Amino acid sequence: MKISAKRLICVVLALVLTLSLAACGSKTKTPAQTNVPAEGGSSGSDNNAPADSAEIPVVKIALPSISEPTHLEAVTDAMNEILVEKTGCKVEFVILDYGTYANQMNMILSSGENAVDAFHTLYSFTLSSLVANGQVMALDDLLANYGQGIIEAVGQEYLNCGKVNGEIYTLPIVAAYSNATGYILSKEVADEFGATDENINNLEDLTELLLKVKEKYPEYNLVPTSTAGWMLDCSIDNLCDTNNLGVLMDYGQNLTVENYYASEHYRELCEYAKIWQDAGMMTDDPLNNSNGTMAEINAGTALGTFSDRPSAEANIMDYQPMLQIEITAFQLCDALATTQNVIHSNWCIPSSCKDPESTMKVLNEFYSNPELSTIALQGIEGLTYELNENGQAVYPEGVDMMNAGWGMNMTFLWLNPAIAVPMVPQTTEYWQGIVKSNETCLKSKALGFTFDASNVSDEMTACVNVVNQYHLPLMAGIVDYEEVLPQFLSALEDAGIDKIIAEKQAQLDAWAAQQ
Amino acid sequence: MKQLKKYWPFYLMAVPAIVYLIINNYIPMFGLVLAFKKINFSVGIWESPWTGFSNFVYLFKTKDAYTIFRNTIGYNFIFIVLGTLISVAVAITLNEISRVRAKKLYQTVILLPYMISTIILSYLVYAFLASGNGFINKTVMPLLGKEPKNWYSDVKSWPYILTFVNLWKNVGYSTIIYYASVVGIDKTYYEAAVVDGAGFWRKIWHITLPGLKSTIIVMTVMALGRMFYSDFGLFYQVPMNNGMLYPATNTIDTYVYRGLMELNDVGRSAAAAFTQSILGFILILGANALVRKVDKDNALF
Repeated sequence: MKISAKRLICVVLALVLTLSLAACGSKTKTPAQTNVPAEGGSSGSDNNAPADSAEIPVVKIALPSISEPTHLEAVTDAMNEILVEKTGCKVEFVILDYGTYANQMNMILSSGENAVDAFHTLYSFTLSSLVANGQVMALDDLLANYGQGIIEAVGQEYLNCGKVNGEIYTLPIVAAYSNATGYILSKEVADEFGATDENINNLEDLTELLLKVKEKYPEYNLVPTSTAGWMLDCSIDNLCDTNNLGVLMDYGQNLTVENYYASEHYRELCEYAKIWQDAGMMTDDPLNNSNGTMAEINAGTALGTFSDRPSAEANIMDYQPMLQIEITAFQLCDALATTQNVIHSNWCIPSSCKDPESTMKVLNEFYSNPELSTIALQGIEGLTYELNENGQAVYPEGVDMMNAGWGMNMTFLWLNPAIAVPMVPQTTEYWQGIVKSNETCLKSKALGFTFDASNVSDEMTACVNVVNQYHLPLMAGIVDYEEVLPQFLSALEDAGIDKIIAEKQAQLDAWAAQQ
Repeated sequence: MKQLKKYWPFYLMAVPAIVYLIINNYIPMFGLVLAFKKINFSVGIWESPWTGFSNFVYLFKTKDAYTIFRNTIGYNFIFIVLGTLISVAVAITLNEISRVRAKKLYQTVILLPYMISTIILSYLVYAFLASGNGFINKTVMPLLGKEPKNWYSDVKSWPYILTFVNLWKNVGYSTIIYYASVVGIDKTYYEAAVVDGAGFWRKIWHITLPGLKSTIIVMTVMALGRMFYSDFGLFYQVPMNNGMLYPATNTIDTYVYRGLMELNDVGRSAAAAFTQSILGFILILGANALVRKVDKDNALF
């Protein structure tokens, strides 16, 4: 043996190095090549020409699942029957567990492999960072060519909310695009105190009522808390920044970016929080409860909680099905449409998608075909649902949400629940009302604007930590706001919030100039 | 080469471990380039633009930098000192127990907390500290004649709580390592010492501790290498990510996690980890140089 051990190791290492480099190189190239928006239409899958079964393109859709989808095959087959006829494509579902969906999707998106062709962001991904990281595809050309049904269902104004740097990157589902701070309360209790949506109109009325309720029922919480937050302030436009670092106050009716936490409005919220906490309305250890506020009502420890649907009726429709007590609801501020509210529930096509045309065709069909949308939401008639005399879907005997074998009535997920057969207690009229409310609701002047944080990400990182430290304790009323609020504000200043606000204002002005 | 010829069976035995090291520890090192790039997934890692050191700036620019570095280093320092003291003490005590079955039982009981997942641990802690129904507030505080306390909003007690929890969880594991060294000390030393009239403490001072010296040094130097890392579970899960407690619980890892959760910025996360390992590396080299100077035989390398 003539080669020395050292040299041998060098050779091996060099080999490993080149191999791994080569592997990385070949993997990362593919998405780049396919990132070209589709215009050619040379794939041959023409709408009218039924292709051979061997050639039918398959679109892979990520689907978060709460219970085991035992009827997956039957549902997919039923969908494909329609899809092949109308679009010449098929779907295949990539089932991901609801609890770990965000992690798994993140890995899929980072791997650069074409594991899914369309996915719902499920409140876990910020659009601007998905775009900044190059993980999703621009959709303008696809929409123009294959997305007529989507444009009709959502409306161009709301589709524009998915714009980042002038291009549309995401599709909001058909839902209520406005939100209002609301409160849901046990109907029995509300009736006892004569509280209705007419006489409870703001936090002041509500606090007065809650104090009376607490006196009568001291053992119940009335402002249950949760680590995810418990009261959404819908009177501001947060410009797609859930940490509210620089917002438009007063329903976004003027385009001046302000420091939310320094506003008189925020101070008032702190005051109310203190009143609620001191009256014992909140959960013990308010910052530790990760169960969610609705769970507390079902556990029998709370009588009511804050909510966020655009009207009292919408609150009842959306939350009654998951609660075990009968509820009523109050609307506490005007319903406001902001970019954040519109793209709250949205779908994207990852940049690794190899066949964007087919994907867009399939999505378009889900938006515009009532029959297909019904299968997506309610599964198969006779198997997972039955129709009652009013044309609503009800569970067959012995079937419930958990054992239906299909994710039932996921109106927060599927693309167009408004055209599907509704599930009790929702009605077709209710959904028509939602669609109508999107036309008539109050709209922020910055509707369609999305903030891109990449220029100030150092400041964002620091400010997010500051907000995490102070905001929830203030909202839980467990600290003295007279003392802590000034500390909070000076910590934000040190962390650079002024720079973020200035950057937001500059981007907003540039956006407004283009409109 | 001569060595290779002479000891080839040993090298052969080491091959699986070397392959493992290369695959698991060396190949991922290419990930370090992420720290210097602005990643764009649509073009891939190599095509993404270089950004120099800009990904590193945010760690030091913030006012919290002092808090997070102080917490990370401070806690680790306390954990190393107290952890070593307690595990050595427990290991020696364990060695003094003569009944075999009792010894086995204690060994297992001490090790058990190490096996518990941090998530479960955080709820165990919560069961003790919850303000309404917690064991401490409901049982211990009244027994001591004290008012119940809101533990999750009391920053001052958390350094003690976290130290206690960390020791409770980790002491068992290092005890086993020290115990193995104690057992390895030649029994004849002790017999000779007894003949010379040495008592219990003398035996520990002159035989057991010197026998443990090299193990203690190795364990400490290794722990120093992780000085700038923190046990994420301990600092994030156990205080349940409670904002009120950040002054006592925010470390480099939790800061990075919270700050980048929403920005989803791979480059910055990589930069933070890179900084931590570089600082740890320097610390290891320094500690080892110091050990070599004082006591050449016990240096790691």
